[in-house]
Amino acid sequence: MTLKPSFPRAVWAMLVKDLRLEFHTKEMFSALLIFALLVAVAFSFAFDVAPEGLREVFPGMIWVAFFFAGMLALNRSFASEKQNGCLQALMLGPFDRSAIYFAKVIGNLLVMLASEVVLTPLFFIFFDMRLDGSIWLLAAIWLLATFGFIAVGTLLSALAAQARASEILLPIIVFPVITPVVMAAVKSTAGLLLGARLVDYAIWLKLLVAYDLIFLAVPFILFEYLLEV
Amino acid sequence: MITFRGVSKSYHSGGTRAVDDLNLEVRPGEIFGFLGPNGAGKTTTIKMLVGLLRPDQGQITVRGVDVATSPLEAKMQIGFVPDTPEVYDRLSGLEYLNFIGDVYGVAPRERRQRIERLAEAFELTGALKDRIGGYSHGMQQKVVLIGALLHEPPVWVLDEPMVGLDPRSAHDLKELMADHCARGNTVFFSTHVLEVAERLCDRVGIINKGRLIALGTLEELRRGQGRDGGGRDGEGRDGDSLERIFLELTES
Repeated sequence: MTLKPSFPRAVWAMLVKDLRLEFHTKEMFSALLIFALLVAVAFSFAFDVAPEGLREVFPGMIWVAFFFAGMLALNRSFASEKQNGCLQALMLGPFDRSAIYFAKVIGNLLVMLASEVVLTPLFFIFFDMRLDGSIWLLAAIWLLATFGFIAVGTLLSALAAQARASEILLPIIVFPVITPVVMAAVKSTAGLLLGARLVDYAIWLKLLVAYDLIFLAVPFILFEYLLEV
Repeated sequence: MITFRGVSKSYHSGGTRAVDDLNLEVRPGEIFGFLGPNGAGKTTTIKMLVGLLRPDQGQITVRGVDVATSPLEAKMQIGFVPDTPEVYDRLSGLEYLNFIGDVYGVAPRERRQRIERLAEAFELTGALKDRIGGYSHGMQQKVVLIGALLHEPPVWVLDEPMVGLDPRSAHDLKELMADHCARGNTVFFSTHVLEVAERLCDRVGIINKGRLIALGTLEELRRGQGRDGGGRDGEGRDGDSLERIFLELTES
């Protein structure tokens, strides 16, 4: 029995395949983890400031580490598909091509969130930080900011994969576009860690939500054309 | 089963046409050989047929389904094997086939049976749990073939399918092709091995510089029928091999 083509089934099949490949190689997870850990160690030696001053620079440090490390993962995202012409093989599948994008987004998001779960406590320990606010709010900021970064990064990674020097091109095109995510992530993290009232930094959370929603919708329209560039 | 109506494609607007006004019908139960020299337009035609490229003009249908307007439905009808195996080195053969089965929605029980049957036919059973990266070119080609046939598509589109296959696997594939067509299905394949086309195909089409210059059974081509410009009965010679006809037609 062969079932009719279905979008969720195609996303699931590609996600399982990507996670299986990642499980075999651990390329993305280990690159993310090691890079962010090195940044944490380097920063902890480089900054010798009073705890209050550290509380102000900490949000910037942690997000710079996460986003730069995430870039390594994004670079691998479509490179494995380009190898041996697998991207072309996926385009032959009986599903809407945006399924490729959504499978990649979920896979990248899971890998990046998994590494953040390991790295966040380490960053807090290295910099002797204490979380006074809600851990759920911290988790929500982490999730929204990481999703925004991964959603845009994966879309542009598909575009960059068509170019010869994709690994150089990707950061150049990603960072200007994710500036709102970087700002919103840093500002809302700072608001939480400095004990500000939620209403004072809610605008940054709203920006993250809006940004995420836009980049959840845009690929449905654009991704098909992006692969044909 | 497959129709091309006035299909044209050029890669640069106003440039030379890679495929020029192609009109062709491949019937049910037919093994159709698509021949032509390098750069003649074979791969472009196949890419349009499987939905990888959009024609500039014309219409392609597979079992009555328009490839341009209903691509997903059309793709379900087709099993495509490209000339170079497109596989994930770091998956095992079985993981790759399960991935393909998931994508096409082949139920687990049927999938297991088909994988067993096809792996047996291509002598790949013992290697299915190994990583594809360790396979030879021929083994990779076999695993792609099994993947393409897993959802039992009525139309097989094979681009140079014999490349890299050992004689036994090539023989088994030819038997599978013949068996598939005997059940009323269709095989559309391109090849440079004219002996294979000669022995296997019910009809052949020869494309050169984007134009279909000959179409018919081997007998018809020998008699000079089905050639572009009409041809004349008796123009060819009895016993002419396909190679001789091919060379003659693609000379200029």
